Amino acid sequence: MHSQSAPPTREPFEPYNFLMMETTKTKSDGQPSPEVKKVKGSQALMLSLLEEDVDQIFGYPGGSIMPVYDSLMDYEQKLRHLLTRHEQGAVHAAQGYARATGKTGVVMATSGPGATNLITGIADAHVDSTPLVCITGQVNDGMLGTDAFQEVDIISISAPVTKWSYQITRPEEIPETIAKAFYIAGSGRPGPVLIDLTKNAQFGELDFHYQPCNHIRSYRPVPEIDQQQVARAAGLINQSRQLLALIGQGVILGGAEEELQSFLEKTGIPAASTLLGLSALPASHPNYVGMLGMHGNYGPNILTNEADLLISIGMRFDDRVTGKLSSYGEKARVVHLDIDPAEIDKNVKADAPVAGDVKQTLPLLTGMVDSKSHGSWHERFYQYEKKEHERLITSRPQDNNLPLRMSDVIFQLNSREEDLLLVTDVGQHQMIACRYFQFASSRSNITSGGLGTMGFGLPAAVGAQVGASTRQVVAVVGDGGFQMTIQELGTIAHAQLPLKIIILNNSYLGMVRQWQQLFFKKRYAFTPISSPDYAKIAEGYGIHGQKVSLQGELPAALDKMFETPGPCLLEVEVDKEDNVFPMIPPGASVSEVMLEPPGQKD
Amino acid sequence: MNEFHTFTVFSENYPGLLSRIANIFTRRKINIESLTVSGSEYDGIHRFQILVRVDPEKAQKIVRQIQKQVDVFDAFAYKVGGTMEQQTQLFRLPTNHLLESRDMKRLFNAHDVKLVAVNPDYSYFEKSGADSETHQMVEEMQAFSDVEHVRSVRSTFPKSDAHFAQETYR
Repeated sequence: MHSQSAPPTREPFEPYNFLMMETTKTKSDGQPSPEVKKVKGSQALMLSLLEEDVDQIFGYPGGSIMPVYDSLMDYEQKLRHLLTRHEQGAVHAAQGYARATGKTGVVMATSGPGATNLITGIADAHVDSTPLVCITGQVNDGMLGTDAFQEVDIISISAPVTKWSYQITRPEEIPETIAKAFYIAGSGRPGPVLIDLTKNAQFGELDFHYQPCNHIRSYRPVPEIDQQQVARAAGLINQSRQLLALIGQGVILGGAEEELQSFLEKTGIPAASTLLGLSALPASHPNYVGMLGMHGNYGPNILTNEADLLISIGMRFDDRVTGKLSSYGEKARVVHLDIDPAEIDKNVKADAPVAGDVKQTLPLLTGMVDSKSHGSWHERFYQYEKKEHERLITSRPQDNNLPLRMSDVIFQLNSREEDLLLVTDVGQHQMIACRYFQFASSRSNITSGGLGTMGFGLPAAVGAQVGASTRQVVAVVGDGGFQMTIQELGTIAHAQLPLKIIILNNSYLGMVRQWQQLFFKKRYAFTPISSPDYAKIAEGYGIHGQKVSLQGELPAALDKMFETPGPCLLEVEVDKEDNVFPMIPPGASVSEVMLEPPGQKD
Repeated sequence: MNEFHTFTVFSENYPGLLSRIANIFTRRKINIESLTVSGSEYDGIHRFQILVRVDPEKAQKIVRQIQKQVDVFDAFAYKVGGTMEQQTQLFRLPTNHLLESRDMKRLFNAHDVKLVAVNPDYSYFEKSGADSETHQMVEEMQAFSDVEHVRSVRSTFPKSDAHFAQETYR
């Protein structure tokens, strides 16, 4: 994995020149505001959001949330609002914002279809532990249960995919509930919270004062650390010879990147990452050995089953990581560090379960483990990496007149000096981009992991670019997923976000097509998909658009894209039936990872 | 192998929590045999008792999922045998049938059934006891028509160590 020099920094762009003003913090010392003033519920919501240091909202107005939007006009210079073109776009943007910044994303929508359109994003945030506060309008409380216009029971609908939800029917509940919502969303294992606000609560008056929430009597966000288990984990680490650390998103969520590096550098243990853990450790770090899972790198998958100790750090042994569970890590004992006790022993039995925040548990472990290097064990990862690279990358013909492949684009992006923030959609392009992109700093990878939500990429990139205004965000999306949320080009154009969009167009729903090829006798059932002229579509929105299809055209097109101020779209026509390898076939063990389809030389 | 477990959950009393807890079972296609929610001996804290058939390993995983709910103080799962249990069965039958049937009166006496209320239309009886006793009573009642019955959840306490203490409030 190559090293990168210090990336150039960028001046923050100002996405809403017409709105930009000084942002003031209203919460200074965590103490409740001494003044009590009479305000409307909708205004109390604005004041509560300001108390929580919110400065960005993504949303879409409608009938049942009109009082809130009316109040928002009075606060728009402090509470910037980005109007997406669909509520799904708003919630994905809030996710992208939260993942890029580490703050809680805020999204607003009206009742009924506005609220139900949020559900996919909420479910995505729930499974990927993204902190969100979702505020939905609701009909007057007297009309609840009457099948009123745009009334749905969003509390029940959202219950399985939210960390917490609450329906506010009285204005005086607003400050306390919002304080609680932010505390729950952002603490412990983060997640989405939904607050449903009836219209009468928005119109009604209350005496406003705000008390931040930092304790709920029934809620223990961070478990107490069991020192005996830490000692047991350290003992296992010191005894073992072939160890593999599995980095999950918990490292990023806990802000434990430095603690991770200290642990790895002292122990010399090779470290592989889950999809969501990517960027917690720079790809150039000497201990980094690649990505885990179904389309992860060759070496870490094979050697998972050679390891005698797996050290799971803030990851949950998702089935896409473990493959066939009964043969996963078959020679290994397991140390499992996680903030969520429900994840311990859920899929893989832990020999040393260490519940707690990895920001706290990793240093304890580092203090108790021996310094080692594991040189010959590292060498085995290197040999597999070399084999993968030769088979999949260097063996492919390079010629300016040949068609492009997805990996060509990712390697070209790697050659740029800037520390890019990569947002991907879901499918073949996602696996190739995430596996081969050289992440240089934390929070550089935003993708839909557990839910695998096609259509996530473009709106999530909107939120990421708004949140990480000093960084260059690049959205790499497939032609299928792009067409699911293509309307967000309108949001990008309206806000003049300097987002760079690369569509890898293979004219198929590529991942499904790959499975049809390998496991359904090449019956390509409804996976060929046509596309519009994306460059023209972009231009229709006032966004600069380009298209390339040959290897020789790509470098100049990328240069042009990055040099052009404001948003840019680049369609890259790629090999139609290119497959993503390595691949662990469904139901197979991690050590059965393939570099080529069955029947071909391996 | 699936076995009867009683899950005891101590929680806040918020709307929507019942649905969240029920979802944890239904999502895993586990049928809830009976469920009761009531106040507890701890002021402001509610107690759920949920009876399901589930294998013991899964029961432990479900306990952790319930404990994870923000408004839940704590949750426990007990196997049958590890608990002191009592169940109540309430019967209703037309009063004239009762007056005409000696067999029914004999059955009620044999099972130590208590009369709760009588009016000209219906008579109400109660049988309390262990699960097996109330089940047997119900089976024998099948011989009679027009008898309706409703059974409460098994009220359960662990036989040994105290499982929830107010000082564990977080």
